[in-house]
Amino acid sequence: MLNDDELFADIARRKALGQDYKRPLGELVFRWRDASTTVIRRVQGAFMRGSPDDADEVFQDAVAKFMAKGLDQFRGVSEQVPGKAASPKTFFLRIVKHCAIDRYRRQREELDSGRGVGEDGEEPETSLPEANRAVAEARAIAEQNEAHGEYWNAWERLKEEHPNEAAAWDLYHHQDLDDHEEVARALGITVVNSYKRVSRAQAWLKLYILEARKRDEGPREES
Amino acid sequence: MVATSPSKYAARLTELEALHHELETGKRPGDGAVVVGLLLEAAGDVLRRTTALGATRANVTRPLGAIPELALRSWGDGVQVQELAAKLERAASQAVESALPDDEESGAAMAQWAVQDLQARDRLESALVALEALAASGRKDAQSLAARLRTAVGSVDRTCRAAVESLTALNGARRAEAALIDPEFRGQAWWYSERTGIEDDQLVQVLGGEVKGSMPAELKSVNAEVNRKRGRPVSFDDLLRFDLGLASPAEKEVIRLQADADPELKLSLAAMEAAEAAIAEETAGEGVVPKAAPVSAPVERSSAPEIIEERAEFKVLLFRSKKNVQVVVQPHRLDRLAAAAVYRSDEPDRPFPSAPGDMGLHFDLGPPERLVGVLARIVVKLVDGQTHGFEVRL
Repeated sequence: MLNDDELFADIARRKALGQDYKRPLGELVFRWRDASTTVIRRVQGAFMRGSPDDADEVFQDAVAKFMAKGLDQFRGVSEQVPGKAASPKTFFLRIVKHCAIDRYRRQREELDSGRGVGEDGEEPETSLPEANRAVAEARAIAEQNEAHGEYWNAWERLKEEHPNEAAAWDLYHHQDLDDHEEVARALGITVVNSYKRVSRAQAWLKLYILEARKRDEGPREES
Repeated sequence: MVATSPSKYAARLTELEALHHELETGKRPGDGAVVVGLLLEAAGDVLRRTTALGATRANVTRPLGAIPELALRSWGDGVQVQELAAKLERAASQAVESALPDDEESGAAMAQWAVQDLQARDRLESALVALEALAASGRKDAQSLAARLRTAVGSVDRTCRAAVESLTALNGARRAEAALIDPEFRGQAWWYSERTGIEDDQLVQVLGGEVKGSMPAELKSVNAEVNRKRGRPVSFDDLLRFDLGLASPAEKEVIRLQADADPELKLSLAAMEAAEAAIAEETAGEGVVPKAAPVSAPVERSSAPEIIEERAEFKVLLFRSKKNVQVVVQPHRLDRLAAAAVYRSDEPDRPFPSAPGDMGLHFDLGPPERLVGVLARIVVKLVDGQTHGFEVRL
């Protein structure tokens, strides 16, 4: 029987050759199932949330993420920060950990949306009303739409093509720093550079959105 | 601004004659593809600028007719249309940098490089126009090649033309080039002619917020969309990168800033550390690198808590000490508790940070002298969706 590293190497080879690698991957992650459950329990303990039933879903989520990006990420991490990924198993368990953390962070958002229940003192102990649930679902959908909207698409492109400008914009605008001295300090650049990077970032974001809108509209007549 | 001199094209007729001669004498080694390419560009430059050069179509007829079939095919096979797309994209990017540079020197260099990339698109256009002229004379090989290249270049143009607003930063140079092109070819040369009105000269600086100016109608909604205040919560990928040591200093700063304001993120960081210990145990001997994640500071606590509420699934305790007041949600069954939150009546919209502790989930509400008359609202959610709310005077 192949050991973990040998099986992982076989999976990587199959993937590179465009061959099916789901079966050996399934075998490999199955070996890490118990360790995954331990990690999930530890996250549940830290959050004081969750149930044993969650472990299955978190595990499946982690396998899907490992398949989608993790195999390449593992190679990238191994090359960029030798020792950080340590082994495929360690890397997979870190994905499991983050899937669990992501799940329980989101549970809290649901709670926030339903926290008005019982505030008037008349109904201190009830099931979450349908109305609140609907509001929570609507908010989740709105957030999802926003997440995939034109602004965030432009943001992803900015991060890819101009990471320095994206970093300055992220601090200045998204994190509400709104102060070039602080941005400059955080990035280790001059205040003038911060100002310029933020200017370029917002120009590019606007140009990218305009570009995307024009492409969505289809080809135009020559002027 | 990058200057474009009309004299750049003044020698094109002479060059065309020289290339014609070179092609006929076959002095250059190889299959002639390089000479054919240069000749097509020179001929096209003449055809597209007859007025500026004082030339006619007759000037190019003989040189074009001298192009051998094999050499033309070889040149056509070597045209890299996708490289052209990359150059146009780079030109758009560098044009923005030239308008909003870190310093004047780099701005001038960026403008120069951007114009060079636009010139590459223009040279291919000249070659295509010359090739189409050859095709119009009845050369079958030129007809099929011209059709194929025009389709491929048209596809690149459709994509890259959408970024023409970026090129407004080069309007001085673009206007000078466009002015030299005959009117019937000027519209096709969008890289030089589109959006070159002086009202657009500072468009990129306006978009970057460096210059106050009027915003074209189609850009007003884009401007509002980008300038609208919005946060970017730390995502799954951000945390994973942070955990793997791949986060940049800026990304680390984002996490630090948000953890200060977001108790859930603080809790996530604590969970990261707790789970990392489990990973270390599960992978003992595999060389796992221990992590250092921020953890909530321990809180001093009195020995006798008040029991605010007790249910089958959990208990809510209140600890008072000289230094702080703390609520603890203690699950009897971990698998039943989904989440808990605590709010103060003086800050009703802000959930208080929580941290896992020895007795359960801890919420530090602050020093007692600041809590006189304040109510705490505790909300506990179970996995089946039931929500329980309680209030206690602090």
